[in-house]
Amino acid sequence: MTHHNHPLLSVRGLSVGLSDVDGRSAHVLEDVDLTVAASESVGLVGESGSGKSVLARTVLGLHPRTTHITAQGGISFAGNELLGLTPRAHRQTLGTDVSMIFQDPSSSLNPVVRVGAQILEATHRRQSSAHQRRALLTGLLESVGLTDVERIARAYPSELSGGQRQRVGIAAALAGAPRLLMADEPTTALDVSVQRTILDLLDQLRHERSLAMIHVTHDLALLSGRSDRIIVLYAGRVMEDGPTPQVLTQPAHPYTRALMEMRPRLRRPQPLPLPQIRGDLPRLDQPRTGCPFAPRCALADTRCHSERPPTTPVPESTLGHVAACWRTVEAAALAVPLREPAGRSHP
Amino acid sequence: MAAVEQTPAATAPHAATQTYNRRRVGGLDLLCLTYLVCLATGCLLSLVLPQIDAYGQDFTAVLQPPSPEHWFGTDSNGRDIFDRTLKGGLSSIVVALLTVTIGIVVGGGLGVVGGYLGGVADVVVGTLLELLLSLPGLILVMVVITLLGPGYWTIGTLIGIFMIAPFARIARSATLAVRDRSFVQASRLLGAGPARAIVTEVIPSVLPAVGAYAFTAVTAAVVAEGSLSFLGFGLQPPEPSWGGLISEGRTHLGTAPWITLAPSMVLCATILSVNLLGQRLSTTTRQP
Amino acid sequence: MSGLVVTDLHVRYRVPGGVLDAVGGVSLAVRPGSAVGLVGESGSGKSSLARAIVGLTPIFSGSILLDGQPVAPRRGPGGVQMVFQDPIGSLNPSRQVIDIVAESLTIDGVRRATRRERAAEMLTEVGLPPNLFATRRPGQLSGGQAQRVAIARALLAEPAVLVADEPVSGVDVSVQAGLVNLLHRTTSKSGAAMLFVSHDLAIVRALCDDIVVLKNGQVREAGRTNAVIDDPQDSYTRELIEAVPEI
Repeated sequence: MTHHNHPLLSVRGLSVGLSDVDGRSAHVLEDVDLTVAASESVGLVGESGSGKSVLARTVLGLHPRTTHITAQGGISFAGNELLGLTPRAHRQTLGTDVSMIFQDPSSSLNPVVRVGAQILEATHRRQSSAHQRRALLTGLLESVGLTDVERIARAYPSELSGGQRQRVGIAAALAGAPRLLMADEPTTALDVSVQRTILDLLDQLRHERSLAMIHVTHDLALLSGRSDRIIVLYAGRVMEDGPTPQVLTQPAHPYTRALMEMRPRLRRPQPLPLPQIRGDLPRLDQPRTGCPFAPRCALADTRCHSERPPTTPVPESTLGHVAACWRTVEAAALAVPLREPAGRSHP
Repeated sequence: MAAVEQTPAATAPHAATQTYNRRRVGGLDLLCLTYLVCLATGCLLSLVLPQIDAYGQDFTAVLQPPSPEHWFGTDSNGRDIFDRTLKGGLSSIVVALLTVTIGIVVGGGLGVVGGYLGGVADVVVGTLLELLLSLPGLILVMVVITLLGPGYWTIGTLIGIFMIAPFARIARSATLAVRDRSFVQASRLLGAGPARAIVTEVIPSVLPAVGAYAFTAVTAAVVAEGSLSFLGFGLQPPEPSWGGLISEGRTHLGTAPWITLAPSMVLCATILSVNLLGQRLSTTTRQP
Repeated sequence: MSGLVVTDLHVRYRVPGGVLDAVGGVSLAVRPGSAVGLVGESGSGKSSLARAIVGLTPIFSGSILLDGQPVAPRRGPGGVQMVFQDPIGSLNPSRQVIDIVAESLTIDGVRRATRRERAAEMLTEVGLPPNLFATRRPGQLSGGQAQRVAIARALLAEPAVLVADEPVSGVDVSVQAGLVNLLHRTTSKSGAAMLFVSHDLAIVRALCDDIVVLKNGQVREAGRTNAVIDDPQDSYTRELIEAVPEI
């Protein structure tokens, strides 16, 4: 990407296998590339089983103790290599530079600790005096759009509404002054009207503080006009990666197109039945050949089932728009020169 | 473009949707299981095999230490401790099974019905359980046994009565947890009455919790029976029982410790095995 | 009057320090064979209303009539059935799929061979080949498959009204499209009316003839779905529609 010369986070060829205590193992990520530049916002889209949450957890070094992970490839954050470190060293390297916003704020907040104390937990080593800490807390709560901050700081999570809790979750994530925010389905548990205010808040904070953000979601529409880039994951592989306007207006991968067409639209209704893709997600515990989407793809031919499609620049689109699909490879072979980038979604 | 044969809607369940943990059986589990099977077989054989003689006295071999002849040694009447331990185990098994059956059927039944129906039924069941819990256990058992005389059935039933309340509580709380689950409500919408809902929907969901407690109850029953026998309210001599054997050996503890030690170790091993297996089962079948 | 008619319905819960009017005087009608979308955010009372209609939540006052008769516990076809939000939780984990689907026939005393046959037909109808799914247990199903089983079970009871409480909200987009199509196809075929409870306006627009917008236990706006969404009269409805993100 021409706008972002130094990637803040760079994931290169990451493959992750998980195995649990029962000895079951699964290849949840295969050869995933992901870069996030400073103050860039990336949407990570996928359905359940796509590996989007595993990717987020691997970057953060947060894996349940009961799972055994094997990872290959590389993850570096601000130039520091993370893969291969112990979980402790991994988190120490990240420090407070990366923080996380969870899907369900009521489960990520401790129900028996006042929210003010929880927000300050991330910062208590730096802020010495009680006065400073109170000022910091008030500032954080005000920055996430909460009014009546005195009352909220003293409240327990159960005394707040869902939207207020998510704002508190965001305040806690901001407390350590991070450079990268990882938001895992931050609005899925919220009502649609609250969802929009939270997304607006995240956008505003991101611009004010020059934060980079990875927004993990299953809903492409949420990213429209909000993220700089979209990465579509399916069965642990990157299907498509490109600037948001291009991915949404000229999706190159059949899976991306299917994702967009299957969702009914409110303002442009189409008659039933809705377009749908047949079949289920591939099993992750069995070795795969070819494109993982091939068994469900209307455009698949024999090569799609046997050979893995290379990541190829999408013809007639902007630089940085790539897809892993043999149809893209064929179209690219017709050699249409690439256009200059059409600009970013945000000024 | 060639449309390739599509997989039919869902050929195999997704790996992540497997709900039951199928853990491999460990060596310890096998050891416990083997021990319990051998013990039960031995106890049952003591009924039919004339070689296992719990009563035969041999005054030429009193207070013998363990030997190839007498694996656990002999007591002051020259009776073989191994044979007596097996025979005593039989009464423990009968008492334990009787106890747990009463607990599951009566206690579990009361708990499920009270929990599912709620309202007046629940109040009645609750009051009954309070009554049972307020009974002075040991005194009542001693009085009844003095009046009716000791025997498998009396002892088993008496201990069983005290198992009703804990089983009922576990069954009731497990029932409350599933009563408002949507699959139980769905069966009501389909026209199932309380009896059908209880049998097909509630009981299968309550069984794992009750079953896990049954293992604890078995060990409690074995200990209770042993204690009663030890105190002299169990089976009367010469009928052997673990508690009785342990009690008999007390007088010879200094000179012939094996009389007490051998049945004590069997008792401990049994309780340990049952508990370990019970714990393993409850973690393996736990639902997500 | 035919169809489902709800008149001035109140549902009250006792809460610490008073009572909560979860449903505060709602009237609505579902004509035979039509689909009505009941939309609202959390706390709007839409789930309480749905559960009251099928009889799972006691009503405080008002009436719920199906073809002029009070909605009673099911006896035979022509009643109300429900599809729940949590598909796996709505299936008994210890039973086989075929028995779960056939439950209404078992209760009606239908012979085993007949009910198995009809349950197998219904499984085929909802897109689950019986040879693959009949003997599975709920733990071996994906969320979408489990919801298909729940829909098959409800439809085999031949309801006059199917109440679907957020039946597609917890599932992936690809699964969601299939379930929406299935609900549309099967209710059209059987002639069952549907009350589709959802927070998802786009799905309601695709699936429902009429729409009822609830807020705080009150109806804010009701009418033909297309008319309400294209030209909302109520400020809250407008707010809801504007908040929906779209590509």
